[in-house]
Amino acid sequence: MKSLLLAFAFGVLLCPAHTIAQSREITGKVMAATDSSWLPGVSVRIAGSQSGTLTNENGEFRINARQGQTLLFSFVGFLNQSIKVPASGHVNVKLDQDELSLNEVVITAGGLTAQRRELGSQSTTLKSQELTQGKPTSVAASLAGRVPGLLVMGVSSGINPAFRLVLRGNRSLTGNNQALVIIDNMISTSDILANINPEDIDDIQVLNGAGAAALYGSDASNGALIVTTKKGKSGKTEIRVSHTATIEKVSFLPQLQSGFGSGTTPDDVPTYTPYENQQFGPAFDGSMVNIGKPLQDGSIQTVPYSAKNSREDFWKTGLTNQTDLSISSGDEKSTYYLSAQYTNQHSTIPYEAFKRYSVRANSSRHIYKNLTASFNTNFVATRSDMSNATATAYQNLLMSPSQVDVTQYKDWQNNPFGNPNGYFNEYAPNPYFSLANNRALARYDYFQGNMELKWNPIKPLSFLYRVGVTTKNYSGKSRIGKFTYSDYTKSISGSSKTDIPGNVSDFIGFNTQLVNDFIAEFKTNLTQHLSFSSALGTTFRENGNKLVFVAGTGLVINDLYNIGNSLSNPAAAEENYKTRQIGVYGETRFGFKDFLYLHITGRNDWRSILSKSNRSFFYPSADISFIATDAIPALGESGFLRTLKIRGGYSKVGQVNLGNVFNLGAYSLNSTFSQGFGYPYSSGAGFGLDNKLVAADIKPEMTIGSEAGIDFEIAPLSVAGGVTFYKTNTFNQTISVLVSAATGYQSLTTNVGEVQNNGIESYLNITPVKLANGLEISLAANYTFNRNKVLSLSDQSEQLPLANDGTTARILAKVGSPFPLLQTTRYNRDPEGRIIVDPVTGYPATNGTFYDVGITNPPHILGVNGTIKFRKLRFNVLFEYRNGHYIYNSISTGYDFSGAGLRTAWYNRDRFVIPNSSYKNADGQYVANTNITVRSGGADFWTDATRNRSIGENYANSAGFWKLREASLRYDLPASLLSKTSFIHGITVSAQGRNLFVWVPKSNLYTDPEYSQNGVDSNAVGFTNLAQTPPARYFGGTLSFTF
Amino acid sequence: MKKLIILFLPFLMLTACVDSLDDYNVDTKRPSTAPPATLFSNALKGLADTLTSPNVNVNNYRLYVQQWTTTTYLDEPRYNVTARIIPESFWRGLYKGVISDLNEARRVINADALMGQTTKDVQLAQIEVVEVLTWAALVNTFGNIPYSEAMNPENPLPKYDDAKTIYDAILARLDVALPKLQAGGTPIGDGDLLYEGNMAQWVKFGNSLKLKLAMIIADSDPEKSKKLVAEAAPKVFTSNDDNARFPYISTPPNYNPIAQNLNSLYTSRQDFIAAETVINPMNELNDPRRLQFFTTAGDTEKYIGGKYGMLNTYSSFSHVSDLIIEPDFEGLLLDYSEVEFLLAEAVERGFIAGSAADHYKKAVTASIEYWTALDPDEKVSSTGPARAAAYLAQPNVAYATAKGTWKEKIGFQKWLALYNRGWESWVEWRRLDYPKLSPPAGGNVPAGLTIPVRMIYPIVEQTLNGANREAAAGAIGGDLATTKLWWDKF
Repeated sequence: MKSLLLAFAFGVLLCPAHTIAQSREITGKVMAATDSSWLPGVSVRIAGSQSGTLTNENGEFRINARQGQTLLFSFVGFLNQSIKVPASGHVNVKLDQDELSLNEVVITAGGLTAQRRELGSQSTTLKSQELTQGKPTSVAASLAGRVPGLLVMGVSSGINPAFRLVLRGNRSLTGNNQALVIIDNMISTSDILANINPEDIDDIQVLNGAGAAALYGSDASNGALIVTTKKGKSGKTEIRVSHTATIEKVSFLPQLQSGFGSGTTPDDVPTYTPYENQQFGPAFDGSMVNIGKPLQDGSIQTVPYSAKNSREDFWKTGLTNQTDLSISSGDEKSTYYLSAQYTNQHSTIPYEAFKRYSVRANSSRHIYKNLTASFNTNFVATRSDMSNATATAYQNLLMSPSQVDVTQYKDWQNNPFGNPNGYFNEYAPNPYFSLANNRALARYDYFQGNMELKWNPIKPLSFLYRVGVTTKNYSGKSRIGKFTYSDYTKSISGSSKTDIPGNVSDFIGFNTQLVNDFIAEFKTNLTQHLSFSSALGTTFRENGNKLVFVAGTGLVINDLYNIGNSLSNPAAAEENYKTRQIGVYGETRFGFKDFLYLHITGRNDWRSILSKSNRSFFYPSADISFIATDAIPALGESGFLRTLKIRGGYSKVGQVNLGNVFNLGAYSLNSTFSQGFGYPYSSGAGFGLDNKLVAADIKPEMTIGSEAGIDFEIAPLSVAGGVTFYKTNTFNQTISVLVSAATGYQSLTTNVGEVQNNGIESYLNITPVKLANGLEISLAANYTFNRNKVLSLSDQSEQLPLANDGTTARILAKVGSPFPLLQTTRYNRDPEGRIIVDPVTGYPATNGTFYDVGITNPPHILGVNGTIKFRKLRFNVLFEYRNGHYIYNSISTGYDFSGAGLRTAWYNRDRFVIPNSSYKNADGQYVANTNITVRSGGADFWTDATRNRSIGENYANSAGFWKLREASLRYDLPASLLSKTSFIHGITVSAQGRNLFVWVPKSNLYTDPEYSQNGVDSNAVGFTNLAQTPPARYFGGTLSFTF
Repeated sequence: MKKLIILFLPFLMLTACVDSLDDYNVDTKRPSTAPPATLFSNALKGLADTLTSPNVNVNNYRLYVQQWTTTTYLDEPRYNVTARIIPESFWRGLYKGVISDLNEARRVINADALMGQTTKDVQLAQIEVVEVLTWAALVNTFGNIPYSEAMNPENPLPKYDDAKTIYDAILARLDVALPKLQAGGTPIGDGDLLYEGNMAQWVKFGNSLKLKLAMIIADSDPEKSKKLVAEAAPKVFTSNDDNARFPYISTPPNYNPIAQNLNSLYTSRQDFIAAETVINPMNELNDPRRLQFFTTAGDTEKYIGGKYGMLNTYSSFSHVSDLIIEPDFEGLLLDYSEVEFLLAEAVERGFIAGSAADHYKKAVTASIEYWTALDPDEKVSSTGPARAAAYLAQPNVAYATAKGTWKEKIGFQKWLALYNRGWESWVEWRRLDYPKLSPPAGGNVPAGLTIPVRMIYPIVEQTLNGANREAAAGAIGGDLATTKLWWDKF
């Protein structure tokens, strides 16, 4: 009865309302303006009232509203819209993307998101178009010059080059300094980043400081690169097929002399030796000369005695072909993205080849109203065919006098003069043979997959469970072919041509990582002005690596590369490592009136590789973000300043530095014994105590960092910019200090030492031209400055050597200097700085002491990026500048000992006076030297170690450069042309080039200063050698179809 | 409630795992303890390698006593010890490669609860003898070295002890160990690459070592030397069968380091030739051992030595013989001929009774017989004694009529007998001061070269243990290659 009355009352109430203004159901659909995909979860409210609804999975909504009322549509990442209630009762709304970067949604950690306005630390987001416009095979190549604070070094040449990515300078002396790579919320490795299909990537977010990444665990103390792959969009189906062809040619060759040919005599009258590798012979005169020793049948080659370009022509023109297919689709309940890529690359090095197949499937589905399941899987298979003798072949190439055309000897099997038996050069084999005879085939297969379940039982609370697997499965075979010289060759060449016994080695192994994450997130508004969000999570991670290796020397049957075909007992080794880590973390974010945010995090890790008492360590962080323009509206009123954000943060992160990337630091605390290689010795084994002692109480290295910065947007010219100042101190460095062999060990690993980094990261984007006719010109620049200093090392020593090149140069960490610091030997100089020469011989000398040269990582990095858009045409160019650092080129053998280098011909091989030199006269005074020439201007001087080659300052130079990193021109065919076909939605044609030009200082006669001979994982950056072949420029074109 | 359980489930996982993390820290690839016999065996190899190697980065003593010289690279014959890490290689090779393993072997034996006392005694004694030999090698090369504070990883800055004190201490240790060699019990057998557990030979080896070490201090501490020599003399080696030989095998890397550096099967380098300093006197004396020591020069049938310390063309001179560069050529630590020379010297010094001439004759004969027996081209081993007799019959060789004082006679013949044992020969040359050797001079040789009478401390010790090294340098009179050791009185 009561209910009837109520119903009647309502009805009575409603009736009058109905007559005033009818409230009826309004329906509609909300879509994104850019691609018309529908948007679920959009908030639809009636202005002035609290009532509202959300759009459903199809983007549809229903709401009761009266004529005259206004509907407000708002959704994160999009601009709000208000629309008057339509007469028809149905309205389709298109929401524009919110270009205000403050409202951009970014990933903070573990898959949690926040708006950029809430972040207190520096981060940069790169979108898919910027990453792929240069069409690199590895996405790391397109990061260079785009991100303030990020140093991208391409450390090697040839196929699939490796990249070292370091944020904010080197913190750890001997440990890992590379940024953590996270792909789809899973911790990944830099080699997976190098092999992931760049077309699959939606965006990469770079979190510069440890504070921003403290929730990813101690591996993120070096910052993080968060990669998100494409997921598909509801309501939009797109199939894309494209093909890219890229040509690769060497761009920068070492400067070689072209005036002198074969010979080695040290005295003043050089004699021509037809079979020599050294080039200290007579000057080129064009006459016909013999080269090499005669073949058994008496034939001998004759060539004109003049320079040819064969040492430059040796490097091939490389070609890369890349074919991509991707399908992206979705409906109201699920989305999916599938892709496949095939890449085939031949580089500039003869016989090198690389193939990569990549397959990806990402999908997500709303199972129930508030339960979403998704998975992301990616499988990449790579096959490479390289040589381990690249450095040898390059040196052999430099050891070829330039009157000989080396490119003629490609066919070493059939050409009697290309065959090692008849090859003209007694001491340096045919480089084609060196490469062809030494091959390393490798297969690396990567699989990365994760599955997520997200449950949102009530609005503020959500639970996320994620399990992921990352595996690398690899195998390979290296071989050196057996080669027996003919008796005739041995009789005329003696011991310079010795038989190659041949060898073969096989390896197989796998790396597996299993991660379990569980996160609970709570988001609410405590009061109208105070928002609160909190997340609590735990993560469990297990890593295991295993490798088995066999090698045999001395092959019996030629060309049969199997371990059973060897004369000796095979050498075999097996390694396996397993570690676990557990982390528990929490974060809280308070927001006050949407302009002031406070963010606090804390995490505790337990690591199995540390001893039980030191296993657990805790690290917190905090940051603040203040949007001045929202807090003080007066600032924005003039229309000049659109947004101004002031931010700051403090963090503390620990990084365990034990072992290396392969052995994971497992078992490092124990002193162990090893058998000498080659045991058992007759009857028994022989074990020796290992060299290294690890202090039992090893702790993680701690980095305490603080940063402060501003971001602003100015309305005229659409200027956006920002600058961040940061300072980090890393103490408890885990380093191996050498101890006297008298202790029974050679080194002790302990926590000692502190490193400080401070610097500036800044960026500025301007759009000076934006016309209605579609022309848009924009410029972006970023500048990074890093100053790094070793504050302390151990009590015993102020120096920690990291790498050395014989006794000529070394890289070390030294108290009071930045690291890595390059030191080389120098000429002995008098107090006025003149080189001291011997008054009789005119030769300089060195006393072997090391002198500082400078830091080997660039303190200054500048990236400049320009884009011109006009309707469907888009042109982009990117330059990068680095300076303030130095590099040492470990090539004195190939360069000066061989006589190929330009240096050796500076004085035309005549006797010369060492410039700016002096000698000691009878009174003991240093007198300027203007007349004492070197006793020999030829081989006796340039090849000699004490007079020239052991003097490191000759091969060290500034590593500064300007590079034209990328240039791309893209044209999308206009829709009008395409409308004729019903199924083609878009055709794009583009031309792009990378590393097109390099400008280096005059002192750099050698090679690309980005190279590092010690590889990506080594902090000892600053040496290059001949394993790094001349760098290449890439240019090519792409054709892509969208259906 | 359900939510709470779900929330806390992972924490349960946590506690379950933390305890078992310890298991994850046991290396599955390398052991944390090793059987002492294996450590002993590795130590012996390390010792033999360091003393036998001709590698210019480790051991240049064959050059310093001018048995060999080089073809192209003149730094080492001209006594440059800083261009390469020569002192460090020797230092590390013995401290880290030998003493550290012997130390660990001793620790494991002492800690073994199941081993019988007599077995422990005998095995420890074997270790002691080898360790004393190694310490003596270090002291006689560098002078003051870390000893009492060494081998302690807790102390990374061991102080350098006085050389004479160390020497006395190790002689005392040897005296304690010698009777224990006959304690009964099971000796180290399979790991004993010198004698395979034959304790009778170990006793001779131990006493021969005592004799040698005692004779080294004959000039500086004659009383003590006489006492020890008299004790040891009756129990030393009695024939070449007793030689302490390290049996290299023919496969790399357990082959003789001489083969590694000189044999064309393993290297194409041609760095060493015989020096005329040793070949010329041997030519004059028609020494039969030339067949086993050298090759003939080039196409001639003669033995021609190169000028020491100068550039020499490899093909024009005699090289090291094929016999010596065989990969399985044994490495000698102590041999019978050496022992007989020491006994001859002991008689001359009045430490023991007997005939110096007789010991001298036995010494030279032993050397010739040893080399003859090793040479595969020698069909009849009995040619050894005949050759020796013919050699000794020459007036310039026979003890009574050979030139000079007993020091010169013994010094010269011992120098020939110690061919290919550069380090031992260098010790003897410093002691006896014969034969007279001159450093290279003339041409472009820098002036003022002197033959080193000690090895300088490793350069790296200046940074690793700088204060103690400084103190030691002061105590010995300067860390230079010209500072004489305490026993090098003349």
